[in-house]
Amino acid sequence: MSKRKAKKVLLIGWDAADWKVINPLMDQGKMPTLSKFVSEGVMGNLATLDPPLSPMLWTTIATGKRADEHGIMGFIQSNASGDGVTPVLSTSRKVKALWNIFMQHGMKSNVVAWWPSHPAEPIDGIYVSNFYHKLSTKIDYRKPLAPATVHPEKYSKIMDELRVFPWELSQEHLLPFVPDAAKIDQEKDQRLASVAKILSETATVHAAATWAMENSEWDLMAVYYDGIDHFGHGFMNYHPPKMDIIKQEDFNLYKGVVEAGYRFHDMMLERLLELAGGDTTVIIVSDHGFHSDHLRPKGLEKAPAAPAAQHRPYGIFCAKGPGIRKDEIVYGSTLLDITPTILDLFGLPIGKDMPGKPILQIYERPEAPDYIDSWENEPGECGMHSEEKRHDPWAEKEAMEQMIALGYIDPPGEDKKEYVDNTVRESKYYLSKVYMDGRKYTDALPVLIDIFEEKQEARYARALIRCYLNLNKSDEAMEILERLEKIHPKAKTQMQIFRARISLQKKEYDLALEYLEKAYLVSPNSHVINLELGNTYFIKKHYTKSEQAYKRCIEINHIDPSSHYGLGRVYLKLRNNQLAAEHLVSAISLRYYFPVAHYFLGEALFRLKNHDRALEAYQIAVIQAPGMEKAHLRLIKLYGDIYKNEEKAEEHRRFIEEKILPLIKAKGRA
Amino acid sequence: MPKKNNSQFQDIPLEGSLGLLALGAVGIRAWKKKREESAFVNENKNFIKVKPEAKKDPKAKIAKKKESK
Repeated sequence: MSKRKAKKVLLIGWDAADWKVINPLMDQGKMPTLSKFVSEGVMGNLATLDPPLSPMLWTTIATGKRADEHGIMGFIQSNASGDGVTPVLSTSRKVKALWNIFMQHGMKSNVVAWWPSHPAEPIDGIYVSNFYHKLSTKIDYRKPLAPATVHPEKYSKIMDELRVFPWELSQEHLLPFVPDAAKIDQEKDQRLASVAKILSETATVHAAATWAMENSEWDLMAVYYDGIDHFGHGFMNYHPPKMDIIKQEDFNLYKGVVEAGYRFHDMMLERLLELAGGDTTVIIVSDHGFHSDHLRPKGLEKAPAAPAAQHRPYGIFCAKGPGIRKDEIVYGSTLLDITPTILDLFGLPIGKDMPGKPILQIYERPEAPDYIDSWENEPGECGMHSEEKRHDPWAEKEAMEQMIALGYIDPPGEDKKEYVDNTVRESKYYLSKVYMDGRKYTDALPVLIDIFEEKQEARYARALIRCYLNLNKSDEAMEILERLEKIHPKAKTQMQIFRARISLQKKEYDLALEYLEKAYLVSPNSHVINLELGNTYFIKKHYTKSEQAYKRCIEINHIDPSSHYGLGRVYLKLRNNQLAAEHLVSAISLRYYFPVAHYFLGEALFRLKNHDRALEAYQIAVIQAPGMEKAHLRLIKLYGDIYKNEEKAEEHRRFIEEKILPLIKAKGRA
Repeated sequence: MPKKNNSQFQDIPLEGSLGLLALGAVGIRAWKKKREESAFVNENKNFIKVKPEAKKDPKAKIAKKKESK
């Protein structure tokens, strides 16, 4: 059994926090606490999942499961009887969260504002639900605490008293965010009130978390702050550099809001670390990043959850504590890895039904983790709500009415059935995206066909085309594309990209290039078009043109792993092995789970006669993709010819004969 | 668990500060207490033009009805 490495764990969630914003602030000394934190621990990117919607992602972080397993699908859902709609609740979660597992092991957890966590679960510890800090959309209304917001109930009064409201805030609080606030005509411009609302909610969460830390014993303290995400959605378009679509006077007024939001989180972090003490392992994560530069979208689609288009696919991960490496970078982590990592920190086995892995790179001395089949069947009181409460239409109805009354979600309108149907369809759309993200295309297909037949929306059609293409069904993809052209005739460039992809799948490369070159003339700064051009020129062996296209991609977005990978492959073809290795390393540092990139890095290093590192790269390729025959063949050559280790070479030969060849034969028969 | 003692909260500004909010529960309680003791009213109306309106609180409404009965 693996040993307990952490005495206590403080898990801090900063929704939408992004290194692209944080790094310059740390360099300028504006986030001193986090700066010290990362120098004393590890930091890295945390790849998000699709769709990047917070209730789904934070549930993944706390359970280690994808949304098709954990059951939280978007913001609202149909109720148990199917005749109404309810917000996603803690009762909607179908699997155990970390705090439930810990309760079964006699450990104490505090949970504050995790999303979604209402009604509060009766765990061994203090639990404050995500209904606690949310103000009404009418910010001058002091809403009462909803029932079951706080567990144990005896702490409700103190938690209520700790809440901070916008009307309590003064210039001392708001001038750091908007120095020229006095110039604002608040009758016309509500944005200062919006800053006050977000700041009040954030301070309220922090008050509850710090109170719980000071007044209870705990093994796990999990606290979630949504302030950075909300400041981002409200004010990232005013963040420097100035966007063309933003008026100069608005830019001047609100350009400092995002930065001030991050700096306030840094101040709160200082207090959390002080309360946690030096012997606590501290982990800070965000569920996704937030576009803060030229990649900021200039407009949003009119669709539910459209603001998610502002999210960047990489969040943050950093950790420090006893036994954790100092001032190091970790690569290749995803949201799925947080629960396995925390279980491993406490010396508990990881569920084999959790698709992630513990981030062992954080340790000074990593040890092999333990596994069990699943935590779901482990007996013992875990603090999850009873079955009756899970399917209690009355409680759901009450919660929904409360949510509408408080302005969290829109009222159903006159046609209740249509409202329910829309909600169900939206949940199915998210489910299909979860399946696609997990490469379960055959599961996604019937769901997408179903919703597209029900309602011909462009986004459903686009998802269906992608799904068909991943299943190598180009004729079916073309059929949907023709329907999409009727639904959305103005999106000509997008159609050309899809036509190019379909042509590529049919091996009609010249036709694909024709579509892409036309699209490029209209949108020369499109990352997608340049990437597709790079890939297609590569197939056509036009390596110089391919190189130019990939370089344009990197100019547009220098942290895109696919462009670095493409460029690495071009340089391999051009026999510039050093540059090839550099770009392939860049690709891997941005997306660690990338078996072909590891393989081609092995190729570049092999040619550079750096055999040790080439061996390492091929080994990672076969760990990530055990069926990659060409990597096994390279390992056989390296072990046999260079290292004279016949035993190891034979191991890989046997693997090909026993595991890979039968699969190839079976595929051939099929 | 390190706690802030009362002596650390002697110079609390009535208007509050981001530093007090960042201290969490102890900072907020100390600030609210100070305001209560001084019967402080936030006069910075130029900043946030909202005030709590008890009449909008449904519970307060119910309580008022009960009182009148």
